Amino acid sequence: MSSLIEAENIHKTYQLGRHVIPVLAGAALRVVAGQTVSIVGLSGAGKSTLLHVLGGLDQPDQGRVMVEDRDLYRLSARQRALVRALKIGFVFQSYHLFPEMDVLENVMLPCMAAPQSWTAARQNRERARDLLAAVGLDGRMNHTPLELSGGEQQRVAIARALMNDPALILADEPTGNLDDETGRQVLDYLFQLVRDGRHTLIIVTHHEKVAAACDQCYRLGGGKLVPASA
Amino acid sequence: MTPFSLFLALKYLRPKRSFVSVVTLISVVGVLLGVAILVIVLSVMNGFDDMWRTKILSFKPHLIISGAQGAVENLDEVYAAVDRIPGITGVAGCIETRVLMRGNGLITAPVVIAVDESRAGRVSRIPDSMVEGKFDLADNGVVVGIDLAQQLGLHVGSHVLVYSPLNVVRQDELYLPVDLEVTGIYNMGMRDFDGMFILTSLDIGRELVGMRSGATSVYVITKDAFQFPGFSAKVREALGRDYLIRNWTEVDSLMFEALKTEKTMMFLLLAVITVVAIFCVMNTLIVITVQKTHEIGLLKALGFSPGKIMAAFIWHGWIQCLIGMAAGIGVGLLVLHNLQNIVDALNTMNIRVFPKEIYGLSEMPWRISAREIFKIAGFVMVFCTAASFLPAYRAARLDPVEALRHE
Repeated sequence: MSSLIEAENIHKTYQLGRHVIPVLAGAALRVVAGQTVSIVGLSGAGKSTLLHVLGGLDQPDQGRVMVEDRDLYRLSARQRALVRALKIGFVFQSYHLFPEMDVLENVMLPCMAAPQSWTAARQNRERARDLLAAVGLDGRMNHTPLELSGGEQQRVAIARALMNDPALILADEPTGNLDDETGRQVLDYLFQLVRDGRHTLIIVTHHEKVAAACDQCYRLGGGKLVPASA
Repeated sequence: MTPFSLFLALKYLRPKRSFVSVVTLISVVGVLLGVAILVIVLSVMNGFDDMWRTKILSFKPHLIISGAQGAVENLDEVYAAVDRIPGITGVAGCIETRVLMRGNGLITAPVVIAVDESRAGRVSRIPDSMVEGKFDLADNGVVVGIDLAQQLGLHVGSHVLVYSPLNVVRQDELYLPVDLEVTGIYNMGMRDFDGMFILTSLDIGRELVGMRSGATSVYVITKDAFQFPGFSAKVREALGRDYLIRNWTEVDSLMFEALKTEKTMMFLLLAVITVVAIFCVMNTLIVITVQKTHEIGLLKALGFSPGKIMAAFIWHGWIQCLIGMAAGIGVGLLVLHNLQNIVDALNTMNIRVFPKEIYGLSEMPWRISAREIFKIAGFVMVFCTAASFLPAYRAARLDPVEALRHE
């Protein structure tokens, strides 16, 4: 079965003054389409860095990331931006919504990354409305993010991540700022998306229960990924 | 459909929770003031430029013909040749020289313009500007300007003695002064013309400069003073190489050059104010890019290209400048249309910005030039693009991971 995303021998260090801090040291991962994959690890282990590397945001010092058989870091910045726009959806712990835009505009953002016709823009608006309805926010489309609760903001962020119907969703502790009940609802929705068969989810989490619910669970330690069961 | 870059720029102009709009407003007001000052000052200078042109053209000829060897002897031939040219409305022989003049025991040194009296009305507007007496140069008659008349206490019927400059040039001969009678006083509304010139007949002029016939030059008036190159060429063609032809811009070239230089300098100096205002736009953009670092990182994560992010901030700068520029032009035009009211209001506060006795004008002149407005607009937009580029480039080059971590 061909992989949707495959990371090989990823090395990444950070320079802090005169100190070089190794974060990833040969991390490797292979994810098949339709899977849920969790990554756990201690704080500062490099989970977010790995997610950024997988998402084409942070170039590794060594190693390669293949998305649908294309080496992400051999593409030009513009092509890589296009892959991020069309193939990858990000969900962050702190939502990262634009306070100047209303909920509908925030959800529509990803489709504005590429040029769109009038017809496409109208269709995108409809899709954004459908997505907001799917996450239970169809009554809050014209509200600004500041008028929403944390759980509602995260649901807007999920709707935004799904706007371009990406194959891969990268979620960085999506329930980190939410209470248990709201967090459970958000996770249920993310898992449901994968079960529906159109998406693949890689989730960074601290919650062992969430990690255990995934098809594969990896632990990041010493810069390497190992199966959590090992 | 609004392009994303413009969409984002418009969103950033109306922030929901930050003070940036105030900073943006200050930048816009800065550009507004810079542009308004440029529009007002350049329009007033245009007004003065026009005023000088009108005054000069109402007093002086459009073309002056002189002999290549000096005087113009055969005036009738010149009249016949030039009168035939279509568009020429007046031709008259003249002698122009500085003299000493005594009246009521006071002495001054005006320039005498001795003109062929039968043709004088066609080469000068002085006959239309008489305030006392009439334009009559016959029988030793002289017409003087109102300021000169006041200076020497002259009225219609007063007598003046005019001394020939030849008394100085030819010291072995004695030239007796000519007794002239003031027949009229004119008011052209310009101190130089009303205080420095007297007009008399061509015969008197010849007597003053020791000529038996002819004139030192021939004044020509055309139907359109601004078409002087064409008329110059036609007159040259009609008269041949024995004559020199100068136009009114050449005769007063120093003054027009001075006006042009003054205007250029004013533009450059005031443009510096506008450039400083545009630097405020750059400052605002730098503040915004720092404040929006987090959001720039998110845009990159969502797949927005550096070019789109850069364009959004350049749009932001452009919008500020466009609003400031449009408002500045509007304010400038508003001030110009109420300029006299403003001057009058300042006068009531004892702030005299336009004394009538100095400028000889009842209202401050101004003229809006569409070409100059476009020049100002182009200048603002070029500098605005340059000022927006640096912060926009910085935003586009931000590392998305660092930007997302930014608090």
